[in-house]
Amino acid sequence: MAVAITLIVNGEGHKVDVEPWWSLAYVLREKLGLTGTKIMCNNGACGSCTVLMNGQPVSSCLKLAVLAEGKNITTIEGLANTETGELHSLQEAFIKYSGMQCGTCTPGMILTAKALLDENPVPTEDEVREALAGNLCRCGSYKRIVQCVLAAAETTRGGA
Amino acid sequence: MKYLIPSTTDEALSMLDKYGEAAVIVAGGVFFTPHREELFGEAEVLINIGKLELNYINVDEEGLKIGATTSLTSLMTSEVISKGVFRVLFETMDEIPIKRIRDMGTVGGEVCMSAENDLPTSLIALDAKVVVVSPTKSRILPLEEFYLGYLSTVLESNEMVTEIQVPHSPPKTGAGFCKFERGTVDLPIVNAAVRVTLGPNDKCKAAKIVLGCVAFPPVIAYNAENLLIGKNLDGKIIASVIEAAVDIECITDIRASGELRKRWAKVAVGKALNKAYEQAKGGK
Repeated sequence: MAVAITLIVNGEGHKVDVEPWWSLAYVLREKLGLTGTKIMCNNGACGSCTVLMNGQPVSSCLKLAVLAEGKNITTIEGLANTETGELHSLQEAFIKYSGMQCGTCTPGMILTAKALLDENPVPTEDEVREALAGNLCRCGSYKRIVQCVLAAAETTRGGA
Repeated sequence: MKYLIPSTTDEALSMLDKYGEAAVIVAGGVFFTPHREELFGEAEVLINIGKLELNYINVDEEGLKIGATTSLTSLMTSEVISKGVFRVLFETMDEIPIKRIRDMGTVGGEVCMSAENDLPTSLIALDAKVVVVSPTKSRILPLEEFYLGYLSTVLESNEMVTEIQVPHSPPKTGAGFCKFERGTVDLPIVNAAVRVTLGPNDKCKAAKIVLGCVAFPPVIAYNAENLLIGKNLDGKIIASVIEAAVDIECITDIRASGELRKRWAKVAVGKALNKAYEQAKGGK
């Protein structure tokens, strides 16, 4: 029996009929067409499916869609300014410093980093590494990813 | 599949009573969501207990009382487990390195899973009890009697766990935890938790040694505990305690062979015992 729920994704309300066992990641990708959220391990180990729920990073493959009702969900699609097309400072930094190789982990990395920078705009390298501990990069780009997050933090603070 | 959101514990219990085996309770969903097909394929009703008022951490003269839907992060960041014997709970959850799993996972979920996880091992070492309620009765039982085997507990189909109680320990008590897994995001292969209470002259007065994931349900090493009582912990005693603690049949599965588990269990017990002993010696 499908359940009618309203998901607030990137500031927009979406009415969707979901089965109670559907994960949020599945609904975002298959029902709302937001394929920026990736599904990789599907058991909470890799962090590719990270979305922000009320500002906190959540593994959307572990979160049942029904449990996400009424929460403010931000996916990678909601990060750039939709009107001007201006990218978020983290997205800029990931492009500028090549913070990806295959790019599958990137949405999760950026969203986890956003949650960190929102809470702590001046993180140390160790703090960045700890925050990203739940996000795996199969290509092993960790060094540059950390560099990107630190650079984005610098930009947000008005530095170079 | 039906989806129900009870707002009180009584309402949740009447739903459980009505649907019995066909109902599955979820709070965080960390275990249910990835296993929904292979383990819960026949479930017809999903009961979300997230709205019940079971999200609390209280301390009174009896001990620590933790509501079943309290998230691991709430427990981990709570002041009460930052020091003393309860600190072993912090150390146990610190071994789950992914914060968002701790954010979503609940203490009740960890306890009820009866699979490869860490918190029950430490809770059993601290003599924790679970409060199990059904529409007609409520019972409190020691956590060690709660487990029957892999994914199997004494919970009847109309019962649910609402609270976990951890008693205070006497002075000069310490507890330690140690675990081994393949990579930091993997499930534990072996874990061990030890609690010791020292008496006059630092002789061991009471001890509890628990091994998790070596077999299901978790194993309590009574023989090893008896070896400790009345002794000072020196190298010889510790070696014999470790030998006695791992004198068990370890399971072989996809993660490790029984033989390897036994080797690692030795190290885990040794480390946990050392941590517990150091803490107990430093305690008042």
